Amino acid sequence: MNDLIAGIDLGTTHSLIGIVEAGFPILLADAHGSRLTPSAVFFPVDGSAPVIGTAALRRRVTEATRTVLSVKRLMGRRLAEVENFPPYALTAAANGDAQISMDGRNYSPAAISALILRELKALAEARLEQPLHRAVITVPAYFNDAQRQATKHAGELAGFTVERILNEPTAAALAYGLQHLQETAKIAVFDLGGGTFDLSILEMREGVFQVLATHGDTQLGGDDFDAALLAHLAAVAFPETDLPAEARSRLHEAALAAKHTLSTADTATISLPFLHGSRHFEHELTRREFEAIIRPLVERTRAACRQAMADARLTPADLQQVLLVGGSSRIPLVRQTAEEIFQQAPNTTTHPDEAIALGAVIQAGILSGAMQQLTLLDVTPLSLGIETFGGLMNVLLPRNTTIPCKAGEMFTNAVDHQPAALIHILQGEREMARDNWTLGQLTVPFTPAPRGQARVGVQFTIDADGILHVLARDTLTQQDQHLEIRHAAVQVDDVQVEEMISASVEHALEDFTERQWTEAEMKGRELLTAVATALPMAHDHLDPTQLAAILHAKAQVEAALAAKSLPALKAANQSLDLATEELAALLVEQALQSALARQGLLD
Amino acid sequence: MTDYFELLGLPRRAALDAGEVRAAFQRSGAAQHPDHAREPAERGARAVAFQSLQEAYAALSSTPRRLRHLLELHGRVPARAEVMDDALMPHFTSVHALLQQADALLAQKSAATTPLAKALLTAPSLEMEASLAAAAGALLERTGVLHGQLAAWDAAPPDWEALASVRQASAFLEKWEAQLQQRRLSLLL
Repeated sequence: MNDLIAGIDLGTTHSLIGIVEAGFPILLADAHGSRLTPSAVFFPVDGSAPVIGTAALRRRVTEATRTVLSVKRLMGRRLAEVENFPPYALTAAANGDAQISMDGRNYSPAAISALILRELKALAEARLEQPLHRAVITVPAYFNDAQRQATKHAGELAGFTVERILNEPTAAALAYGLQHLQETAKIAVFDLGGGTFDLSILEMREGVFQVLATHGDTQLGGDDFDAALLAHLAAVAFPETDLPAEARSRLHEAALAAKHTLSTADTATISLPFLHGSRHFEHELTRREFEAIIRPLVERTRAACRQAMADARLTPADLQQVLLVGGSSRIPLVRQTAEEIFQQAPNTTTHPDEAIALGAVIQAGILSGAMQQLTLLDVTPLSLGIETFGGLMNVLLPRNTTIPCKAGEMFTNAVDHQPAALIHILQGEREMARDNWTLGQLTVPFTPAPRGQARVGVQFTIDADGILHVLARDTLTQQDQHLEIRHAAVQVDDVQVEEMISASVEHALEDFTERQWTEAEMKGRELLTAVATALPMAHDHLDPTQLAAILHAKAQVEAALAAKSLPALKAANQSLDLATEELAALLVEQALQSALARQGLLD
Repeated sequence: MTDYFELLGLPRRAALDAGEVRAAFQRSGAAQHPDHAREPAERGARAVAFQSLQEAYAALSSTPRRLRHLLELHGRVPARAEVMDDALMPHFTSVHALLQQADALLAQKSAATTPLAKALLTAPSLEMEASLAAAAGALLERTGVLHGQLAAWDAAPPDWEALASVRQASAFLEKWEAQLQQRRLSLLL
């Protein structure tokens, strides 16, 4: 066996592979000269072997239901957690995890990812003319334990020994840092890819890269921009109808192309003849329009940035560089937002698509001994804890602890001869256990003994991959035991899951109308109270037409509430929402002005 | 017990700068990191050594934890349940009241569904954010004063009672400041 270790960026949209050659990290191209392999898997209707990469991506328009894309967003996630459903079929596996169903067969997201990894492996082996057995694979820094395990499993299914699960923003920092080894600096890596967002803050000094803090959103990326743009275009093109699947796919494709165009141009022309029956769709999309659509999504990056800066106890002035990576960092609004948050022009010199893969290759080089001058000190992104009395989470390893790390906790029997204790392991930042992610249940066995006599020390270790291992030591017998963490919903079998789903669907139909009314009523009453409070505050700044529109819409809401008419109330709520748009903007403006005035007085 | 100061090659002092501790951790961490093991057998030993460094770094980079370690090294173990210093009580009362107000406002914010109702909460949110920032600033100032005393403590003959009281005060201040900052962040979202 050779000592080659591949570095792999397993991305939402595309994936890359590389190795260290003669001391330099290089990325490998396929037979067509492309270093980017689309993370797409197409299942032919005749049941022949799945097609992967560029050839699969070509099928997305004509055979959207048979082309699996963006599977990374499903890694280690339960079906109940999936927000935007893809065109292909998703079902719940026995443990509740999301899985892809195709022609009566089920594939875990890890199995699909393994197909992509195997394609990369074959590509690299063809270039290198020797077999590859070991790999470093990147994941979003904010991936939790289940998502990391699923990624590692995918690597193993593809025939790799996974030497390291590496955080993407850290990888990007390595790629940047290799060119700047002499510098001592604090840098932020703003990584907005196809499906995930991460923000990491690092300190680099003499070849050591220490992550100080990291935060992110594993469900925010270019895919969400596409979906928002698609929804907007569909509403513009055919407001009255739902588009058939193929028209939707074509519109999706056009939305994607327009998004790319708008990164450099001010307008993009969308021209789709015969999009729906005999109807054509022509549209000039301006960058302004596009930015208005994606702004609420881009704004979501601020929270993670603020949190990471607060955790690292830094202010923007402490940062020497802000690196932008990930395909979505090409969008001007994203760059502008990063600049606003960090109050400095971001560094866009690293290749947005290749930096992460190069970093993975560098980490592979560190592990193989080819790049010994570098050391990476990474952290665990989420706090690890256990549930204690009153449903609270007791943190054992706080977020941003350097990995590998460990923490211990002693458990004792509460009654005579208690056989075992059940521990609920959690990951997350919320105070209440139920608000955090459940890693699983753990059974700690006790040696039969009187109450308080059996004592088992449980050691929680987070390894260099960010994955949890649990070891129990019985202090009576001095025996060690590795404990298996049971996935939370594992007892529920397929039939039960189906029953649960169908039951909830029936139930949903029954009280659907009632729930809709309750929601509309709540919204209407909230609006009426808000209008009553807001009008006196901004009365003088509204022109008579605006005021009349608000009063008219307000009367409509009151009438609809009195008449208990759901359609009328929904329409009235909407028009009052619209009529008060200016008023809301005015109030925000006033609040910001007085906050600025206060600061002026304070400074 | 392990002397974390010795482990990281740092002087056994109450006053240590966070940057100084981090630089020491980076130096020794790089030298002993398990990723640089060339033999599988070497990896295990390095993992154990690195783990100790990591614990030392976590303990020494936070002032209250560093002072606790210093006290423990000299056989002075702080009591489990401590009585709060009288001087801290006013801070505790005001921080507690402010946190409750912030939580009430956060609850209102998460209940609001319409743009107008949300807009109405902008002004109170910004005011609350300013109050939280001011309160956190006051705590930081006090923390700064406490930390300033540490250099003087290092220079004088050891007064363990005084160090224990600084430790306790800085632990409370650190916790409260974190709670205030957390509410601030939540309000800004």
